[in-house]
Amino acid sequence: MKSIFIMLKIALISGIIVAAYIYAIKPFERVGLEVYYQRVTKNLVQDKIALTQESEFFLGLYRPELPYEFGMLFVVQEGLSAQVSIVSYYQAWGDQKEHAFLTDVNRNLVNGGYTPLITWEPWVSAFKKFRDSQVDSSLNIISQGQFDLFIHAWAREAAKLKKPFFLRPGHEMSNPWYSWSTSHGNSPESYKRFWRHVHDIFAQEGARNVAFVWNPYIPADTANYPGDKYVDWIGLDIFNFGSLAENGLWMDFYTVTKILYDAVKGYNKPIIIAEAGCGQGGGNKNDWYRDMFHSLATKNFPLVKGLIIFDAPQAQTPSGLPVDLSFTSDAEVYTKIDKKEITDHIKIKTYHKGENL
Amino acid sequence: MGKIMYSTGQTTIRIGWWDRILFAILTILAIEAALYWADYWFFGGHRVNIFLFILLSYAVFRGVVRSVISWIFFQFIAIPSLHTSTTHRTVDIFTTAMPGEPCDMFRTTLIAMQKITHPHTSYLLDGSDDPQLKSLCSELGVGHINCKGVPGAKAGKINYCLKNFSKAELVLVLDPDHIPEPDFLDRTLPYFNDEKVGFVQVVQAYYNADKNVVAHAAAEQGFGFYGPLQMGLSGLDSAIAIGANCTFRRAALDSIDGHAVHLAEDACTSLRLHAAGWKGRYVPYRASYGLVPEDLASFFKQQIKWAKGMFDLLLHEYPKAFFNLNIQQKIYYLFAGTFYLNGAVTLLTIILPVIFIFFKIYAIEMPISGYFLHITPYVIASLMLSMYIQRWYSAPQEKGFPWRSMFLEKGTWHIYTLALFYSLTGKNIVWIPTPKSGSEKTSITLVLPHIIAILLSCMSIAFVLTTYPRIDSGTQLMMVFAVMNVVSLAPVVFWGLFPKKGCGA
Repeated sequence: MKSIFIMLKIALISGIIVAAYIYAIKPFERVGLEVYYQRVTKNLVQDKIALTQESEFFLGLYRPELPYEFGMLFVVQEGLSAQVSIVSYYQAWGDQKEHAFLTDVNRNLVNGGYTPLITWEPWVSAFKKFRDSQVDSSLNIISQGQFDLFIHAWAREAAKLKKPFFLRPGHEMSNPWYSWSTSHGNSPESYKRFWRHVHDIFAQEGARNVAFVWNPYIPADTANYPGDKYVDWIGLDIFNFGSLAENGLWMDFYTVTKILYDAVKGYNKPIIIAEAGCGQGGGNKNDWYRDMFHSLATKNFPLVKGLIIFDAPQAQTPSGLPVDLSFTSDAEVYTKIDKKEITDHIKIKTYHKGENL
Repeated sequence: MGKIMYSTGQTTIRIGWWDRILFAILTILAIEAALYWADYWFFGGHRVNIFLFILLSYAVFRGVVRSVISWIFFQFIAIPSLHTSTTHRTVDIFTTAMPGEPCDMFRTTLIAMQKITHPHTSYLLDGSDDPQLKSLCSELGVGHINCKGVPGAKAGKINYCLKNFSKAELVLVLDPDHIPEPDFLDRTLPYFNDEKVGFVQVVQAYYNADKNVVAHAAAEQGFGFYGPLQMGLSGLDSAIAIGANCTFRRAALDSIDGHAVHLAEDACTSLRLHAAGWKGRYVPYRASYGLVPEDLASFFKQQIKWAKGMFDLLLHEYPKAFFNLNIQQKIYYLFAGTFYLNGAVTLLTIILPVIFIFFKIYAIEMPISGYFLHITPYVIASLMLSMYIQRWYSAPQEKGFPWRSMFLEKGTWHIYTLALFYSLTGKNIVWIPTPKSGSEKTSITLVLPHIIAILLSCMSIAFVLTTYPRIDSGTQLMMVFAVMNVVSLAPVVFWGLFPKKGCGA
């Protein structure tokens, strides 16, 4: 009887102590962290303008295993004798751990001297609430604020990185592959509303380090341009699928880029080629890459300030055919490219072996 | 539990209402800080490999849980008020001699025993029937009892003497190296006025603690125990007998068929007496001064005996006594019996980071800033508490940050692990009296496991720095653990390899 009484006393006291933790200390931690964030962290965020003011040309790389394995990135750096400064990767929206801002990964990248370019794909079907359902006009759902908690949390973590980086939300807005495209019940108006909604949340969180990259798919996508205030960079995706293309034609870099470039140059924003890749059939791939750098060197496109090589051995053409867009697999590609042109005329930073990890 | 003032001769222990209230508030704050730390560790979304996470969590939170339990015991701190003894009680004082112990030591001890003011009879229980000791005893008027061939080590001799020679109501058992103060019995006897009190324990103090850093460290390990913890247990009527310097009521010993014959004979006797319903009292008085190990070899020998004894107690005696113990005793003996698991835990904290780093399996992925942010309140709170309880230490020289004993405890991990292995496999270590003289020989084998551990940790750090393409937060945390292992093992390696240099204290 006596020991039951003592046990009850112990249980009561522990209950009070745990309750005090949950109701008094934890909320206080939240308040403390919020104050720290608003007063300290926000002031330490570096402005994205630094990316625009950069005098050197950004050379970037996409590889399926990035940002986790860097072996092929070193191969590119050595092969071109040029410094890769952007690491490009793709991340979907959603409520799982893998959808959260990858703090560790991004911190490692910026500490290693690389700027991340994150292609941020608003797949609403990755959220529990809309799991595996075909949602039409998903951009309206986003603008209504359904995912504001997710966007706020992501934006805050992005701000905590402090260093500037590129964010490319809802790219290729007329590509039928994507749920945010016009083929899925979205309109240019809903796209612009979506974009401004996301942009406003990043502004509220003080994520001044995030450079918004607006990336059209075809020239007509300019109808989706959200306005100068909301766009920092314009991204362009440049592919040559050669014989696998719908028209079966081998298209050189200059020709493909010219069409899109002319459509967006009026905005007078810095431009980044966010994806550049070439297939195998119908022409010489190595010549294509050589000519790509040559056309950048000869200043055909003065607004272009960066280019990301889309090195994907197992890609797909828009019509769904498998295509090899690999860059690193062929040693000849490096011998054909004029390295002096890269560093002296395009002004890509020279690579010195052993400079970074 | 009211206001308490107790003079130990060297200091006056004051426990007032305000001390208690402030201490209780500090304890609650510290527990909240521990919850804050645990919440972040367990529920902050950092778990990776669940099996390794459980292992690492045990290693990290064992200490936290033990601290909280000891803080709770400290709340009951008390020194029962003295009632002047009205009834005269007869007392016998025992000390034991094992073959090979120096004769000079016995002369000093026996003279001091005879100088104890309360009327008593002294006995030397001689395990070897040494003629030299025999003549010493007759010279000083001490009863010499020939215990040659009596089995059961020290406890066996005590029981032999209780059965055949001693008739006194109370029995004081002294270790042969302990020199008692003349007022020893005057300090302990009044507590036997409470008929339920089975034994009274005093502080175990040492006169060679300042000899060198190892002796200092070994003595320091007892400061918290022979102080606030025992006083807290005493407040709960459950103080622990430590064999040496304990005054027993004969009736209590008779009720459990005599002093327990066990590797941890003191703790085992204490456990059986508690299970039989006797109260234990603790007096924070330095009533005698003995010897503490002065070198690593003898310290390790002492510790392997104690550790195996406590494991055996936990595995075999504790379950038998369990239902006869009250709740605080159940908790305390579990707490004491698992203390020496710290060896296996240290082994875990040495090995886990190395495994994580070389094989890239992570238990936890936690930002280093978050780790320090969430553990800091707990560290500060527990430091504050440990400073606060020092006001209740029995002598002023005990105060100060116990860094020596922390390093020594960490550096005894291999001995404790070995003891656990012995206990689990049922192997015996031979009962040997704790060596009392310091042999200042360098012995690399004593600290070889530490050297291997330090090399492995350094190699794992070097491995990260040279081969990892990127160092994420999981790796950073493991590197912090590896660095902490190197730092915490290095002092004992130094003491083991350069015993002479360590004597500067």
